[in-house]
Amino acid sequence: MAPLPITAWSAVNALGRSTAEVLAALDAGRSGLGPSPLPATMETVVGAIPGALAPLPAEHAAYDTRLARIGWLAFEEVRGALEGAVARWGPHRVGVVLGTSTGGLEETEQAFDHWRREGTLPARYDYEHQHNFAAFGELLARAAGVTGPSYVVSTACSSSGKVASSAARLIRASVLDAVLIGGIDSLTRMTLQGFHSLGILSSQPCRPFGAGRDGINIGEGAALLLVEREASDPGAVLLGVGESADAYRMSSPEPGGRGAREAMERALAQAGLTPAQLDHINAHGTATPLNDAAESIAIEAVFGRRVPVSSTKGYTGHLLGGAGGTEMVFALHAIRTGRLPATLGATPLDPAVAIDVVTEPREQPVRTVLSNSFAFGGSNVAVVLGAAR
Amino acid sequence: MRPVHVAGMGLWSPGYADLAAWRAGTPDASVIKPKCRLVDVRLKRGSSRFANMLGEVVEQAARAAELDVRSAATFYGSSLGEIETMVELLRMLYEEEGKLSPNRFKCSVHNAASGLVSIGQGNTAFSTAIAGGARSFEATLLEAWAWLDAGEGDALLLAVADDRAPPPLDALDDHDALAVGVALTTRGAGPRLERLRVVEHAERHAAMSDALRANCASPGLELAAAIFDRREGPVALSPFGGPQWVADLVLS
Repeated sequence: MAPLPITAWSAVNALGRSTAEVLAALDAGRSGLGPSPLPATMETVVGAIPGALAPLPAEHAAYDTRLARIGWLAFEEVRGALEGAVARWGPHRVGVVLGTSTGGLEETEQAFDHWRREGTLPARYDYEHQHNFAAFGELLARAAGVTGPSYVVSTACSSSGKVASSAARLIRASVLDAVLIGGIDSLTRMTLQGFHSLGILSSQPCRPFGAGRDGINIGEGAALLLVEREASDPGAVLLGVGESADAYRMSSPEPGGRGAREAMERALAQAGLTPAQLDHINAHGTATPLNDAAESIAIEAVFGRRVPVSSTKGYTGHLLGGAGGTEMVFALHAIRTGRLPATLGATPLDPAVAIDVVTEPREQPVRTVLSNSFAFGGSNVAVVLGAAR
Repeated sequence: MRPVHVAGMGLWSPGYADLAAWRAGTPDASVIKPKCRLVDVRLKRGSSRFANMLGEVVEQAARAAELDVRSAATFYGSSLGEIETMVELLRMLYEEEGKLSPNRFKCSVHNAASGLVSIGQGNTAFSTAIAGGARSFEATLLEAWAWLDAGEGDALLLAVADDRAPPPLDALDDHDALAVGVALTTRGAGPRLERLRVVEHAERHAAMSDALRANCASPGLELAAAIFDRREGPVALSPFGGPQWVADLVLS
């Protein structure tokens, strides 16, 4: 496909409350993981947004949740660019397509507890504006004057990778000229307890591709990227997206990495690149024994040991529906700076992992990066991003 | 975007096992759970009625269009998604000291039906799950149509549904359960959707209760009724009024 300009981006997560803070922490090799602010029945560490979050502006009070407050931090950074796109293309030619896995579940958890104790839902609880998966995108569309389609792709942990292909198709089909993509999720008790029930939540900081790795850490955060039909001086470009389905198990990957491999091969094909033309991979790299084994087999099958691979889950935790978008921002940072982040927790490496895992920060020219996201239900996506020129 | 053909449709709602039953207008009180034969009993453990509704209408639409569910791309849409599963997990969270059922948790994601059907059928083709609030039908159709227009395939199965919300969230919705399936192809001779466009107001013609109308899948009933009644022209893609996308239906 023809490259599509990415004209603005932002990310907030456990590493910081602004993109600059997040990327500075990434460059410094500093993890954002720490104790869970939520009650849990197990030992674990999480990637929580640091500090208190300000309420939304009064005119958007109906949407005010922890999720929306996190997302608003990311939105404020791209707001000017989005409003510029609205002015340039027209409000109905701009859309908002975001990824989320749990939406405003944290608000409903609190409302449910209130109902159990008091017999009624809290007076200010509003499912449509606070929990519904589409609510946060609707908020951003309203705030920026976007009148084009606004909806969510919700395929669990691949959600905010898959929105990149949604944007590309909507622009290529001339339905839209600009699409705000990205993803968001916040910490919830149900997420922690649910992954614990599956036996894949680690009690320690996660160790992607490491020997003896024993599971994931959950994080929260938001990332937003503006994709446009054309731009005079884009920061980077979207080159291709590949998607596939494992058709294997609901919560574990096909062990031979077939689905992951197909997603990467399709992304490269759409980007018009050979494996030899790829400079870096931001892996899904959750640190579960099964994910990292299958993903490394798939990467090795497509790229051999040639391409350096980083997982950034040890910095932020697994952001679920926000992971793909966040890791696209990390990929863009690698393209801009030539810095490949170390995979925190990876050493000693699992000897069965036959790929080039980046265990110390590296600097090298980076023109193309592939970012993987895989999910429950066997949903896989790989996104290829590149330098603008 | 290039025109697409409506090659087949499916429907499930309590009392109505399929599209023919809904058209006949006489509810059958024994229809309370979809069969969803695409997913075997073992795999169904932990799955909701909602996921089975989606699987049921995918199967019906595929059969009507003579598409192979083992290889067709699938697009799922919903506003409330796995709300029954979520409420059951919330109950476990607070009443069973946080001990969640792993099977329930695995099936709590919005794309649970996508995973279940793909696993049940060994289907490795493209699949996605969309949430667009009340406009979930519109959003899912837009995604599906753009996928066909991009040439990523020449046929697909689309399913949009919402089940009733259980207590304590039942007070927040006013709709009946409904799932609608649509098979879309880029070639064929059947009814076709000529183009998508935005209008300030779209007429709704299909006879249905307010409770069915309020379901995010109800635009699928508008489409089915227009085809049955041989009524060409714009089909409203949102359950409610105001500016929205319409698809122009051509029957020749």
